[in-house]
Amino acid sequence: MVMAPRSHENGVSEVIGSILLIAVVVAAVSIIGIFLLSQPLPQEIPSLNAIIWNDTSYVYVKHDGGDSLNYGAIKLYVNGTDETSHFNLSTSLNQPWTTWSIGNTLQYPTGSTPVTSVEVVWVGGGTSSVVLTSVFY
Amino acid sequence: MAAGYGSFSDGEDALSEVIGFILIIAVLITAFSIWLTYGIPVQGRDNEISHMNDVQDAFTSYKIGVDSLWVNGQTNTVQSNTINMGAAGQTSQGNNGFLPILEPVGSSGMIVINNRTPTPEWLNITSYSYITNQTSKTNDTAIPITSAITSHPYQNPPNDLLINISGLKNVAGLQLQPGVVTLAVNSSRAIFVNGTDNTGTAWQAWVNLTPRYSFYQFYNLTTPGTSPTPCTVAMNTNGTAITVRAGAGTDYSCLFPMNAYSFTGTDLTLSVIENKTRTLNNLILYSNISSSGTPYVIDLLDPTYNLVSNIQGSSTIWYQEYDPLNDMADNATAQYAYWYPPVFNYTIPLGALEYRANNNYFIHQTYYYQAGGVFLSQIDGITDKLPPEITFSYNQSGSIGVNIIGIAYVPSNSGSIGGTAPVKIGTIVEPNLGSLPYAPLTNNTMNVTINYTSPTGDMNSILMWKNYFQQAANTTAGIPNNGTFFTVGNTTTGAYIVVKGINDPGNVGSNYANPDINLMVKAVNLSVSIQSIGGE
Repeated sequence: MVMAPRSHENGVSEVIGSILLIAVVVAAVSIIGIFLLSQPLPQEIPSLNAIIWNDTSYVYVKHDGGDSLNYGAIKLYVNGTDETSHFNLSTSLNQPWTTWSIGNTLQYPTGSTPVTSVEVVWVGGGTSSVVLTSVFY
Repeated sequence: MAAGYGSFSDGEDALSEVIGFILIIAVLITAFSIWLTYGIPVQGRDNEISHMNDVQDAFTSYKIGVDSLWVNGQTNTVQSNTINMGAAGQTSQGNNGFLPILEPVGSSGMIVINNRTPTPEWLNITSYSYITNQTSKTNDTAIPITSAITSHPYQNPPNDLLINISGLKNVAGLQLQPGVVTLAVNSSRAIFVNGTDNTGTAWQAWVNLTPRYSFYQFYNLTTPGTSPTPCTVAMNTNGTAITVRAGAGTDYSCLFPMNAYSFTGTDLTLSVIENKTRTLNNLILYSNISSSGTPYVIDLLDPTYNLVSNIQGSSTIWYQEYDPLNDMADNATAQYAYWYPPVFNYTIPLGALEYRANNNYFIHQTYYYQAGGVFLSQIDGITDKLPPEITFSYNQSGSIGVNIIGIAYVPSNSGSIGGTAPVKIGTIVEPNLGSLPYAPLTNNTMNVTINYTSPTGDMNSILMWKNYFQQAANTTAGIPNNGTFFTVGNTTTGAYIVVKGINDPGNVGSNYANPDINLMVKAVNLSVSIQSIGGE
């Protein structure tokens, strides 16, 4: 008659402990899950080759194979200034470009300003990465 | 009751262990899922990108190897290359190789010969050129050469320019009469030929009838006389007279020494002046010519005289003779060892050697070798990784060079091997390596059109060729892009470039005699075989 109440007290303590343990684990898993799921989905940095050259009138950037890029996914810097909107496809000089894909050449009228550097920067996925850079001497 | 309490206590222990184990498994599965979802594709993409770069390097090596064969004229020598098929072979030995599910699925590939299109793509070269025809030379009208200066325009650069001399007089050797010092035969008989070539170099050539003499001395004997000193009388002597007494009387004779020349014959010689510098001086062409027999013929385009580029580059040539005694009859005749068809066609069925990648994580790409270039094809376009062997050059005087190496696979070669095992490619240059019969002149063409045709109307390749023509002519060679020298365009079945010289017949003021395009086409036919060399 004396042993039964003690067993009950022990059982309450173990169950409460298990519940607390589960609660802690669930909370931990939830925190980890929320942390992972709240991250943006991993973005593939585009893999492409490009060629940059210039002449007395234009700077040319040719897509030489790899992933295609949409207009908003890259920025084209000339002398450190974002000139993306002033680039046009060489095949349609008077129209804004939407997709830059293999074989296409973007060209930018240099005017009288000497060009010293050109950079192609990928800005998709919330991060930026330099795809190609060229410096003219 | 004690046993019952004991049994209840055991059940509580088991619950805790199971829950903990399940939680551990859940954590592992979560980590594994994250790796499969994010890690594997990234690793697989990286593997395939790396492998595609290796394929590009392999095609670059292949081009260099094949180029070395035809550049050095090595026919029937096998050039061998190996290409790894897919990325699987590169990753199967990784750290997680014992558990395939932990690594990306390897890609595979396929090597294909002459199956880019059902029938070969082709290049067609149409030109307005001088074409060599060595089997039968054609003669131009003979131009009489007289004492009056005569100019003659040449629409086509001649292959031979013959000076024909006949009807000769006063050329044979002749013993002159004693005492005659002035020669009866005038030494100044010559034919003058001159012009200015397309580089501005003035040139002159003289064909001379050069008389030859020998010097001798003779004695002039006077009749006997009674003067005691008859030999002191001056008689154009060239030395001391010798007095001869006839017997014991008073009669004397004198021997007066006289100089004289003997005309021994005539040589036909050539003298040349180029750019105010005498490069030949009385080179003997025929020695001791005679007045009978066949006419004497001199080809001024004989390379010995170093007048080939001067004469062939001169649109007009002037002739004149100096022959005051009318001792000869002469004319000039141009001969042509090539003809000038308005349209000359040559078609090259290209064929291709392809590597078609079957990628699982990266975009599908196809590398192929065609016309001496390496190309990369994707679903959205094609680019030339290494340019085809069609090149242009330009200098500021308006001269354009078009150099085409017609590299083509023998159309009967075809086949494919797919999978992941490496493939060996063997290539030989067929013995029919050689240049097409465009005349080997400095400039031989008025205009040329290069037309690429895709039998399937593949716009990706059509636009690629169009862009290449534009870039090669304008960006690389520097030919002005103002519509004067070249135009580029495309149709639904092909792309083309039309190159025109400033002397093209379609241009105002053109001059047929001065083409300003140098077209060179060489035919290189490749035979190729492929075989799998084992693998994983």
